[in-house]
Amino acid sequence: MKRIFTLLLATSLLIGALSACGSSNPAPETEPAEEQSVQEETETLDTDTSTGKETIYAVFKDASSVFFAQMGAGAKAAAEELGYEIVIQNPASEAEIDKQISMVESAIEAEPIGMIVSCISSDALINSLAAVKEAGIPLTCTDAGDNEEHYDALYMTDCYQAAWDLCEFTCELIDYKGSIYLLNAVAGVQSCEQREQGFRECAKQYPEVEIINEWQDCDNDKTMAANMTLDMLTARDDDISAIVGLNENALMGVATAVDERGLDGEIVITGVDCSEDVQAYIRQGVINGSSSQDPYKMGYLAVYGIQQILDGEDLNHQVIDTGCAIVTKENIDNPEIQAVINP
Amino acid sequence: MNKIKNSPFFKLLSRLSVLIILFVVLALTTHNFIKLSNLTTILLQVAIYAVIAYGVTFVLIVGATDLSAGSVVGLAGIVSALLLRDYAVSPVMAIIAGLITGAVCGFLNGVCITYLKIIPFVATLGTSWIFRGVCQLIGDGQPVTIRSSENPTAAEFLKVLGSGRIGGFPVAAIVFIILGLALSVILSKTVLGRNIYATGSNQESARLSGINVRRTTIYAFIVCDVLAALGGVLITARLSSGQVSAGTGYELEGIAAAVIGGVSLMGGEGSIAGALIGALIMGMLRNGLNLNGINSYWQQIVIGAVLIFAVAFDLFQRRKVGT
Repeated sequence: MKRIFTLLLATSLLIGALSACGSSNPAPETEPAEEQSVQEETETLDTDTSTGKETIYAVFKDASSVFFAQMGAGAKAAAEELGYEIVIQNPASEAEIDKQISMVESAIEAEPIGMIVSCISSDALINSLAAVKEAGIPLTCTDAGDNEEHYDALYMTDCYQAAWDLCEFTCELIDYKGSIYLLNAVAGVQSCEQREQGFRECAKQYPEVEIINEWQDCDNDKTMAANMTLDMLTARDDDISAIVGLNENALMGVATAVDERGLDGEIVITGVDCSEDVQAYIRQGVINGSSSQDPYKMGYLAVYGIQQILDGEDLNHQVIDTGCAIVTKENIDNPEIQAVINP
Repeated sequence: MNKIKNSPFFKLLSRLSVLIILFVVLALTTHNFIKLSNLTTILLQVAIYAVIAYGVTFVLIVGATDLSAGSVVGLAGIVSALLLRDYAVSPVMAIIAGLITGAVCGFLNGVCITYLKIIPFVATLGTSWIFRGVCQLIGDGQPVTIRSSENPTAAEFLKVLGSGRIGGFPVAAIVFIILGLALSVILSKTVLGRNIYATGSNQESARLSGINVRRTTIYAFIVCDVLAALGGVLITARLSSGQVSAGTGYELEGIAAAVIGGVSLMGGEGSIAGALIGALIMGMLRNGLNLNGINSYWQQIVIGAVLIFAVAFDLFQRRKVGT
C-alpha cells in the first residue's frame, strides 16, 4: 500500500513538472524570445538523434544571458540560410568552466561538420579546442578564443578597446575631472578583466580623473550591485561624478541604486550591454550611455566562417573585431543602433 | 550557571552582543556608517536575505536543509514578472501567484523528503536544479522586464514595495519586521511551532508522542519556500524586472545567516530572532566593508571567517557545558 502511494506521488510529481514545462510555452510572447525557445527545444532533442552529418555544434557561455541568446539567434539565422542543423548549448552560468569543457568534448563525439565555441576561460579551454582540431573539425570562436589560437577564426569585440572607448565617453561627460566608481561583474572571466584594464588604462591619461575603488564585482547579481552602489554613495556623501557597470547585471544594479537614491541625472552612469531594461533606463535618462557589442553578428559570422573553411579557405587564425557602439538617448532610435540592440 | 549558558535565551543574547559590538566598532571606525540614511539603507539591503533566512530557519529547526530556496527565489520572481508583463494581472495577484509557486515548491520538497524518503540535502539539491531549470525555461533565459510593459502602474506599485520608503523607512523593512514577529509567534506559541521543534529534536520520540512528523516537515518546507518566493517577489519589485538567475546562492546566504544567528544544523534549535540577528550581522558587515572600499576578494574571506567563528563559538560553548 505504502509502495503504491509512493509510486503515485512520484508520477504526480513528474506530471506536475511536465505540465509546468508545457504551460510555459505560451508565456513568452516577445519577439526574440519566441525564436529561442524553439531553438532550445531542438537543441535538447537533437543531442541524441543527430547523426552529426549536417550539424554544427555551438557551445556558448551562459544560459541566462541575453548576450548569448542573441548570439544563438545570429548563428541560427546563418545556419538556416546555409541549410545546416545547429545545436546550441550553454552552461548554466559563466562560472561553470568544467561544464563547458565537457560540452565541447561530447560535441566532438557527435562528429559535427563544424563547431563554434565561446571560451569562458581562454586557458582552461586550450586542451579541448586542441582536441577539436585534432578531430579535424572546422572551428570558429565567438566572443573569446583560447590562448593558443586553435580556432580557425575568432569573432569578437575587442573588450579592452571597447572599455577604452567607454572610458573616453564617460570622461568627456564629466569634463575630464572627477571621481569614478567602477563596478565589475565576475572575477576570473577574461572579458570582464580586459574591460577593467582598458578602462583603468584609459583613465590614467587624465590626471584629474580618479577611479575611487580597487577591483569590486557584484558576483553577477543585480541586487548585490545595487547594494554595493548604495554603500559607495553613502561612503562618498553622494559625491561621485560617474558610476560605471561593466556588464548588464552590474549596470542595472548601479542604475537601480542611483534611481532609488533620487540622484538620476546628477551622476553620470555608463556601462556595457544593452538589454531591454537598460534601454528603458537610457530613454529615461538615468543611464547616459552603454557600450553595446554585436553578439548577433558574432554568431552569424561564425557560421559563415565555418562555411568558408568547408569551402577550402584557410582563415589563418584571424581575429575579426565585430565592433561596438555606445548607445545613448540621442542615437537609440537610429536604425543601425536598433539593428544591434534589437536584432 | 551552565544551564543558563546552554539556554536558547543566552545563545540569543550572545549573538545580540556580537551584533552590538559590530555596530559600535563600525560606528567608531567608519565614515557615515552611523548616519540614519545608511542605517535604513542597511535594512533595505537586508530585507531579502532576512526573509529567506526566516524560511530556512523553519527547515533547519525541523531537522532538514533546503538547498532549493535560491531557485525558488528565481522561479517565483519570474512567475510574477511574467504574469505582469504578458497577462497584465494586478500586482497583488502577481504577488499571490508568486507565493503560491513557492508553496507548491515547498510541498514538492516536503513530499520528496517524507514520502520518497530522500535525505533533504539530496532531495532539495535535485529540486533546486528542477526549479532553476523551469525558471530559465519559462523566462526564456532572459530578464522579464515589467518596466516598458502596458502595465506601468504595476511597476510603480511594485517599486514601492521593493525600494519605496515611508518617512525614510523602507517598506521592505516594515514587511520583514512584521513578518518576523508573526513567524516568531507561530514558531513559539502554536502547536505547529512546537511540533516543528519536537520533530527536529528527535523525530522518533516526536512520532511516538503522536506528532504527525511527515505533515510537520511538509508544513515547514511550505513556510520556507513561500518565504523564499516572497524574497523573489521583492527582488522583482526592486528591479522592476524578473531575473532568471536571481537568488543564485541565496539558500547558502540564508543558511549562513541562520547559523550565525544560532540556529542549529542538527535541528530542534534556533529562533526567528536569531535568524534576523544573523542576517543583520551579515548585512552590517557587508555594508561596513563596502563603506571602507574593501575589494570583493577580501569581503568573501571576511564573511567566511565570521561564519566559521560563529559555529566554532557554539561548539566551544557546548563542550564547556558538557564537561
